[in-house]
Amino acid sequence: MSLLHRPYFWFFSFTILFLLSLDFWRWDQGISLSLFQLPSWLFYFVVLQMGLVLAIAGVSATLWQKTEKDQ
Amino acid sequence: MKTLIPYIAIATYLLVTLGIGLIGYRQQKNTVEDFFLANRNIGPILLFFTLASTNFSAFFFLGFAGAGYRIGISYYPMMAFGTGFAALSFYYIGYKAWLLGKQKGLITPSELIQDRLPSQPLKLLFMAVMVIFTLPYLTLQPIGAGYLLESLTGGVIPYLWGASLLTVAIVFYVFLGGMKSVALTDVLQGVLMCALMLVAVFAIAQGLGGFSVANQTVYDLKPALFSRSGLDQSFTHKTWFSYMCLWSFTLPMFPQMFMRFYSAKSPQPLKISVLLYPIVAGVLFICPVLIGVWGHIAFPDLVGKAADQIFPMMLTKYTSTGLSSLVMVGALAAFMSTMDSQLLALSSMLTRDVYTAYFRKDASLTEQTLVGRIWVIVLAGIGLGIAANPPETILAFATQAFTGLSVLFPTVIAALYGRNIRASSCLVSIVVGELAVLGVQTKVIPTSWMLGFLPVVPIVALSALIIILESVFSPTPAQQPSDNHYRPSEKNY
Repeated sequence: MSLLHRPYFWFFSFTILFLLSLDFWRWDQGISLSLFQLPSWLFYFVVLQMGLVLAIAGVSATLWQKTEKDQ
Repeated sequence: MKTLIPYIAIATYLLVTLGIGLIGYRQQKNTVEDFFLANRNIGPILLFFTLASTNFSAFFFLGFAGAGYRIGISYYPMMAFGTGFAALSFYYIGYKAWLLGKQKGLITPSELIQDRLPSQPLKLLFMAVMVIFTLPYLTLQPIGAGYLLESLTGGVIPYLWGASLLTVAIVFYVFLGGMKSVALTDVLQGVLMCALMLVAVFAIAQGLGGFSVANQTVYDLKPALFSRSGLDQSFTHKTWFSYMCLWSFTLPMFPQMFMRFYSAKSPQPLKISVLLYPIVAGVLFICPVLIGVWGHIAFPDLVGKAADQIFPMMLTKYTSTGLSSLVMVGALAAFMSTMDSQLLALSSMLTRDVYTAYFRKDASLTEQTLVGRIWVIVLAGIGLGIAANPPETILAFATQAFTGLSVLFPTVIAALYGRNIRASSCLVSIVVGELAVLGVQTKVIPTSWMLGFLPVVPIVALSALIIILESVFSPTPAQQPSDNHYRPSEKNY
């Protein structure tokens, strides 16, 4: 069974994503403005959201598909 | 002519909605599965829109902007990522619920609990919690609509008339067409919500000189609105963590969301929904939050609840009457798309879990459908009755609803994935959890006991711990749920 079909791989991946959303290491940093004069830390979350979408696409194409076949 | 625009917009929207509702009625088969679950035949686009529309209520339209005003831009990633992450539950809860629902003809969430952990008291308690914590939110929709219509028409449509108009329109198409009508109208309402929210943010930005100018102006006024922790340190590390957990625990526990898992035609609609959810949340949620943040430019002195009006205030100031009327129709759509689903979900539970289970075990499918329709009217009447004279505490109670529903999360996970789980441990888990919610609400349990987290974290942790400890230390193995044989009358308590 490949790594991508193992539940623990995806559990670990989504846990990492969740922990990354906490980003406590940067809370005391100053505010710098970026695109459209929005704070630059906001774009970190835009990237994280894209990562979440990719991870969901991945789990749907692998583990979920395997679960369906097993059923 | 200008003064007629709001009325034309409202009337057009309501007529189109009722027309779509009639289409659902014409496709009706008058069976329980058809009325409550659209015959388990909802395809990908319909399922996504009905999930999103049901979830994104007046809170999305008005509440996000108010929070953006009070807290700042930090509210956006908390909601967008939190909601996107919560959509994972469409897989680890939704798919299993869909499978079991299809195999065993399950209609309500509590029927699934009873199938996996046979116990009438647990089934009843699960249902009661879902009903009790959904009713206040149901009531908030006609309250919000009443205020919105009164504001939009300058008082010509008084509050109670507006609330009644909305309620009657919803009852009409839910009564006739059930889930089919609800799902079809949810597509219209979802498209309206998304499109009009985008129109609103671009129109207001234009009125402020563009996105960059607006953001720079706010930053010059109050830079803390752009800080990570928000204005006045609104978020701490622990409350941020709590909110990220809250949406994952709560979202699948809304009965109106749970029942949509059953109604999918196949796993494919669920997969598409789980993928689209974080995309749509990511794109849309920033709109009302930005509008709220920009509100400090024109309305710098709003305090507390007054900030919840910032969205219509900004529309009135920076857009034309026509455009603001149109956007407010989007807000009405948000109210209606949530309330119709809540009515149907509660109606199904009261019909199947109470009427059929205790009063008429041999009720025919036609009778069950009729009773379900009657419950729709009764529940709408209750909601409107409370809305006529809303108690002050209803908003406070509604805000506790999320935590109250979250208490059910460990039981659902245990039922779907647990080994050696007893129904009695889940019963205790829910009772203790809800007593804790009540204790926090009434201040019997001091806030300091929450250790800086929102109550949902320690309460759900406690509820989960009860189930885990009982399963680990129980001397006798519990009867394992049967995956092949459905016996609704079995008791194991």
